[in-house]
Amino acid sequence: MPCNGGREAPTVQIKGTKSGLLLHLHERPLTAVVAKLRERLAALPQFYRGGRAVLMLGDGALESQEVEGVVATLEEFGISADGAVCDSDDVAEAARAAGLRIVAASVAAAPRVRDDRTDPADVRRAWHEGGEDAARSIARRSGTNGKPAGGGSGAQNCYYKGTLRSGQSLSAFGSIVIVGDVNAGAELIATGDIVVWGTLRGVAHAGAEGDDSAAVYALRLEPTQLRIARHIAAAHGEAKKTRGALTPEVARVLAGAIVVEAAGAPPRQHASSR
Amino acid sequence: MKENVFVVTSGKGGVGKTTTTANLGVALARLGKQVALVDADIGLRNLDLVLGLEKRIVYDVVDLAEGRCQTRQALIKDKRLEGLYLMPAAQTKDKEAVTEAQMERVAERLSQEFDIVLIDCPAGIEHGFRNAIAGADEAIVVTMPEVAAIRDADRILGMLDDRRARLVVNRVRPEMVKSGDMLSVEDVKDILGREILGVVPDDEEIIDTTNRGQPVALDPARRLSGVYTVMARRLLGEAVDMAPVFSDGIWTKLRSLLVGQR
Amino acid sequence: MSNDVRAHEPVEVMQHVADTAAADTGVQETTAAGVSAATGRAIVITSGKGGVGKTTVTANLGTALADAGRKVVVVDADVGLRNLDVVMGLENRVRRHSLDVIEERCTLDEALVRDRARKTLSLLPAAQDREKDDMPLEGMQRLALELRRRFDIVLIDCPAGIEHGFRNAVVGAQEAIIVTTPEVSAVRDADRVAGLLPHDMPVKLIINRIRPHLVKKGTMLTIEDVLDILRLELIGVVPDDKDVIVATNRGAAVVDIAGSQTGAAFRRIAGRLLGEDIPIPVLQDRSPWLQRMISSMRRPRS
Repeated sequence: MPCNGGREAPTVQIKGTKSGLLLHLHERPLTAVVAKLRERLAALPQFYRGGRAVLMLGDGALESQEVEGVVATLEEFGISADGAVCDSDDVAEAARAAGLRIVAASVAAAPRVRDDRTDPADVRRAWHEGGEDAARSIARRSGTNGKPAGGGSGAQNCYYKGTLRSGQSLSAFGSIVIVGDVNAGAELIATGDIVVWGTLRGVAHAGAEGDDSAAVYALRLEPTQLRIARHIAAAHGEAKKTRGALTPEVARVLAGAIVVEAAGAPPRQHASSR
Repeated sequence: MKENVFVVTSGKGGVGKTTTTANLGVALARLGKQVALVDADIGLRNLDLVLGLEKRIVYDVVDLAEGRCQTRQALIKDKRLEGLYLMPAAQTKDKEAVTEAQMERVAERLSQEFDIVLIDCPAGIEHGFRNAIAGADEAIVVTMPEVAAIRDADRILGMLDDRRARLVVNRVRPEMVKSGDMLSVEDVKDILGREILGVVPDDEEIIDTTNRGQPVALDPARRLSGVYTVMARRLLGEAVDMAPVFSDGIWTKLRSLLVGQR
Repeated sequence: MSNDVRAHEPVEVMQHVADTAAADTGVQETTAAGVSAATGRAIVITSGKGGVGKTTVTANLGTALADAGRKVVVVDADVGLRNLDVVMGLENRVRRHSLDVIEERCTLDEALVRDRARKTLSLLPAAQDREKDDMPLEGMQRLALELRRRFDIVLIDCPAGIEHGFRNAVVGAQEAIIVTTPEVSAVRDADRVAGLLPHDMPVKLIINRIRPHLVKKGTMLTIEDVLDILRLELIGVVPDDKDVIVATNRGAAVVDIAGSQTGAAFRRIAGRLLGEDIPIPVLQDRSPWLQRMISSMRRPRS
């Protein structure tokens, strides 16, 4: 692999996005990184105040105390650490021990509950007139996009009737139920389970914040890719084209890997029941 | 500063940009080069499908541009070859999700790490097109010997600033050229006024690339594979004759069209 | 260009277009200025993927509809990469274009080009030396409205992609026809487009460039496969045909080529669009499921 990741990143990269700050904290030791971070923040102490940040911790080894150090530094400048994107299990453990929730990069980018498919008519029209930005600003105004990440109690499950087409995405804090198909090129992201009463051909990510016991159910499970918590699986071979009788299946994590079994079979031993 | 970033563009849709990007990339990798292919068609991505890498996409060029991942995380290594990597486009976004400056930075980064970078451009001349050419040093303009395609290629050639541009003439049907129902490669060259990088005959073999994710250039036994190898070598600066070596019917006709092409 | 159209506030025009989205044609509507009604049907021909045949479909469908006795205008919405004029064989007659009309350098009549063979068929060309961003959305809406006053059918040839040009082409339309080929990339892009069209817009599908021997080989999708994913009302299936290349290069209509299967397919599509009950002929063996699907298609009123 000709790319050298280490050579590329400056020590502390702070990226502002529409949903908050993304802090690139891939380098080690993290304590040295914290010092650089403090320097950067101190240069503009009021600039970031009141914001939220997601920590991109990479896969280099670290201790939970080091992560706590980062969180504390951020708090000094009025920034709340809202979650961590981790590229290895060890890093995820350390982050969790430090009290951070684990998010997928895609969730980090779009932590609000966002339902692209069921745009009310005015949002859709706004997109036609002015593109993505116009649609987003209308949605914000009318309150269809909503809750801040992590805020509020309880899940917001999403129930949707219709087919999700290529390029559409649905994300939810909670579980997602779709009565319809999910076409290839469409994307579902749920912190809970995903149930597709139809054919799932797109990408589904259940347990997006690290819940290994989440599951993906479909009347026809033919996904491009399945993700549960931090596990990713792609189907073997060419996409099967099944016709006629439906074969409902469920995908779960068993012994550290995603396994697909016929729905209706009694589930094998699980750590927790939902 | 390496001048190794090529944008594969056309103006007209459906003339074979993505197929050319995929097969040329494979051919270059088979010649031992380290190649990065970038899909700049955000929202209508197809390069991943054509390469058969769709199932392995985790991060894409928009994630990289917005800082959600590192470069190596957005690159998918093609397991069939040494040295071929794909940076996919996002499907759930649109062209306004990245800026020209961001695309330039991505191209710059890849240019340092790879021998050759090919950027698959979307159809048209809008924002997506401008994004795709932003980081490119040179252009490969794909066209067909057909009036609408040539007209669009001509427009595109006028939008490439002073970048060097070479042509790939796709879907040539020698029997139609002979009967006067299709422009010849010479005609195309005259009208557009640029050198020719390669000529690709119309051949149903290509459908395996487009529909099955198996680029035809992977298999040296396939007729079209030789065509892309020649194209790759010419891209690398070798003075290679474009006429293929096969001698069955359709190909001898093609050969006679190409005699004297350099 | 008549002053009354330009006098409309964009918001009013939008409302108007939305109201007529699902309406019958032939219903009298009056605009705020009390001018006589826009009763024509505006249909956008789109695909997402380039090169699947939108322009050829627009030209030939327009021709077939004109032959069926309708007043038809085909509109090139591909600013900067216009091709509809070439496919219609009218490039030598293009003097003005839609941006000239919008920017008030000429009247709509001055920009419209009458077809050489068919008096009831006209073309509104696009500018070649401009960019899609130059065309404002309200401009397209106003144009479409005005065209619907003068013509029975307005076919809008949409550019490839899903950017500003696409939005422009869609904004003036009340109905959509998505064109795809039986190939994975084309169907994927068609699906994307289907998800971007307004919810209330009726959408139909044409599957173009069918090559039955390749379907048999398994390298191309079947009609069933395509419908399984897209789930759209199928309005026609067009075989792949080298006649088409020849015709486009000469600016001739495929429907004029005697004995052309492709020409015949376009005539059938035109008939279906006008509400006639024309079954889709078998190009290959089809399952009973598909037969049921096709025969359960509702016919639009003309």
